Amino acid sequence: MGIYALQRIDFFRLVFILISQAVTLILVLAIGSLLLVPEFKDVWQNLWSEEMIFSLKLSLITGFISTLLVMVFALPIGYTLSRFHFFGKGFVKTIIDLPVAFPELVLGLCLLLLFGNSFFGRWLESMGINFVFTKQGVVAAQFFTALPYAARIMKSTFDYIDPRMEFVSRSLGYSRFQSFLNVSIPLAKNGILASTVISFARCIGTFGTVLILAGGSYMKTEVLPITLYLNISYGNMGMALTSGIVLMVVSFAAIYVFEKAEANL
Amino acid sequence: MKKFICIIGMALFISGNCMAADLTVFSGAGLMKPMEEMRKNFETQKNINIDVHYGGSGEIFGMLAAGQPCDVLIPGAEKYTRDALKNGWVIKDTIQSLVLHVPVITVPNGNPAHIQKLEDLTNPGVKVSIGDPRGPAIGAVAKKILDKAGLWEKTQANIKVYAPTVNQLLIYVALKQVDAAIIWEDLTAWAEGKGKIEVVPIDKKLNMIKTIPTAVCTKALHMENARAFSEYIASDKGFQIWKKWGFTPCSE
Amino acid sequence: MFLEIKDLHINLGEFFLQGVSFDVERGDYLSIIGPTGAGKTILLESIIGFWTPDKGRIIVEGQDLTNEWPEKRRIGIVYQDYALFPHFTVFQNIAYGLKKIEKTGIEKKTRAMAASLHIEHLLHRKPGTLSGGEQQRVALARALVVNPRLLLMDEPFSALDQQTRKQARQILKNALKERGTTVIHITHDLDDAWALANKIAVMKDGKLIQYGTMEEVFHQPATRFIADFVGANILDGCVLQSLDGSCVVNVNGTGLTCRGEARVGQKVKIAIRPENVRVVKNPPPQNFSRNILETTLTSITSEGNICLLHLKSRETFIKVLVTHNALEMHSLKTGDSLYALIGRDTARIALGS
Repeated sequence: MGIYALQRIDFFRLVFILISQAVTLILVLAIGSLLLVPEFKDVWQNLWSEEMIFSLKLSLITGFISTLLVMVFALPIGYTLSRFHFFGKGFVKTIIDLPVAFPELVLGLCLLLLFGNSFFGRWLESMGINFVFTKQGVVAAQFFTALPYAARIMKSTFDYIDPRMEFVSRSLGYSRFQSFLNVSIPLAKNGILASTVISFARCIGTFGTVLILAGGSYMKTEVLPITLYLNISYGNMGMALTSGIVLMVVSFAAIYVFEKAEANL
Repeated sequence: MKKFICIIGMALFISGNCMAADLTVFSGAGLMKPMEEMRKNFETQKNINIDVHYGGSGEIFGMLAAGQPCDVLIPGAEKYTRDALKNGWVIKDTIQSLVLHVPVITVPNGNPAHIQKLEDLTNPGVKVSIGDPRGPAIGAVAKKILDKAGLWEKTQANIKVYAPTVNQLLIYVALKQVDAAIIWEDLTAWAEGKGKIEVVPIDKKLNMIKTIPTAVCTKALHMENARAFSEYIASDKGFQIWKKWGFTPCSE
Repeated sequence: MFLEIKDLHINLGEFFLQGVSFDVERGDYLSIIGPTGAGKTILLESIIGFWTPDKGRIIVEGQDLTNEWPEKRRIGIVYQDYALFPHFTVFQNIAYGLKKIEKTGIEKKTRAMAASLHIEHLLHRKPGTLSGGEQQRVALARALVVNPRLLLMDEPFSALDQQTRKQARQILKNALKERGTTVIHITHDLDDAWALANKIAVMKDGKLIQYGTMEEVFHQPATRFIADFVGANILDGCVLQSLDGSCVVNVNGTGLTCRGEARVGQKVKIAIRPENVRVVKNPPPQNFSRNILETTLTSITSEGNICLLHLKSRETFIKVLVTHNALEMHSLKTGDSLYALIGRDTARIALGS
């Protein structure tokens, strides 16, 4: 009986481990082939091409700006969803979460309709903000694609922070906002870090929303995923692979920074 | 556990089945509507399974270059077929011109920027969109038309977006995000554009009308089916379908 | 009056208050007891200002605080799990409130506070590395160092073991003696109330069901629920005779003399604390000044170092507290016939009905 039970557990373990390893292997092979297929010299040349430098620069700049904006909004949104009860909270939560399940292309189309040739769009334009076919549009597209992820992480981060810590802080003479800064934010630093890194990775990787809202024009609103796509459609596999590698390096760097920073906390 | 294995097995079987197409066609994305209809007809007629991959002309050309298996190549412009012939990827005597691809200017319903002719694209404040000159065939053609007319430099300021895909152009016009776009005439017949856009023809002297060719690949895995399909889409029956979707046969 | 709570209503779904009113005088130590879900914690959190009541007023020193921000109330709180700031050291935890109100002398005051609670050796440590008792003292220091006019404590000792708890009570007592702080203390442990409080309030289902001095609540519980909660015997009876300050009450055929006012013929409940009942084996003399009940010992239950005897006299049930020693000395066992002696002053009329 005992041996039978042991065998069953081992079999279970074996199958599950095999599944995990098989999928990991396929992923490693896929990532590896991205590195192995192109010639190094080719990649190096492509890397210093005008198009790639433009695209990388634009990706990094828009990525940083979008991530910053995402965090500025995700903190209060996450905190609100975690702490406050108000009329329509469920609605707010669903709508903010929606883009997680939305195809990026649909989100891009929605934003295009809103910011484009509409009353709201014209009003923004009169304020000097134009999101359609512009670099600002790249930031807007990245912002709305990454925001739900960041807001979700921040909500669950604040869910885990005992609100009574804030109560105590307030009872000791600190206002709600001061308590938020002195207590909630420091305690949420792991979550803030995680959602910053995930937002950044999400911003850098956003494709569909950028394509529709910002147009995805060559050397104009061309960020890394657009470079990848454009060069596939140009039939220029070398550049496509190079932008794929650059995207991958940026994501790995983000994960590395995240784990490094998390270990230091 | 047995059930689990059965399900996995069935999943593999089904997906394996799907992959085994009897004919693989690379087609320009702009030809999707007639191509789908012809695919269905040909499938029932021959009782075979056709896998059609739609993409930008550059994209499908790139896939061919990367060695992806393909039996019939139908890009959006004959330039690609000529290049493929140069590289020895298609069989010369299978190349047939099918239909005309006519570039036109499309404007949103009501023509808000009052575009009457090609020169109007240079009017100040007009928002213009064209395809990426290095991407879809229509992009390269649009650039050439403007070049030939000596308008390329002057339209630069008005071109708000170089769209990597043709469908984006149509959406931007239909949603009034731009005042004008250069697009294939046949695309305007698509349901997406109906009632949303208007067509402004380009002067014949300035225009560059393209023909869409079909060709069988040299490395075709299903040579017999490939030749039959290529013949079918160039037959009278085929042309009826092309016409239905707004294309003009070369012979007319 | 120092603190006045007037007809407080609040509804947070699972927890609620329904018309709680009471007063606390300066320097009072009020213990609030009651079962889980009675609304004790939300009463504290309403007083401190984390919830806005739907109805009612909270007045401290004549100042209406009902709609005042918590940070303006100068009321301190100590939670059951202490809610120390884990990212601060003990020093920073204690100095946190001081920094807000003072510019200088923070270091000195913090150290003095720590010294008075015997935690000065922990100042550089993070709360996560401290024992429960140490954390409890840090939380107390953090609340007391800013001299709150009112200190609220929500089961501050419940996570401590018996030994530490005794010590913690003593430390708290000493710290409060110097300051004269008014305290409201929620507890499950009646020993806390006995050791620290001079007033006691009993809550149940969002309502305050009794409020008074320790004496009143323990000896004259207002309801059977409170009696059970505080451990008192409650006997039903009918007043036979009444003369200034005391009555003779017929309890299932036995006349008991007890303290309290009631009309003849009135149905009353008598409260008798189990520790105030004596038991003897031999019949006492007839002219004995105490009430005498002839009873049978039905069962013995043990609670720590004391025992509870369950006695039965006709239809009357009564619990008596004795020590283990007494139990052994008199070799008491189930089925024994015993005389329960109840002092005329210790049996009290709890309530008329």
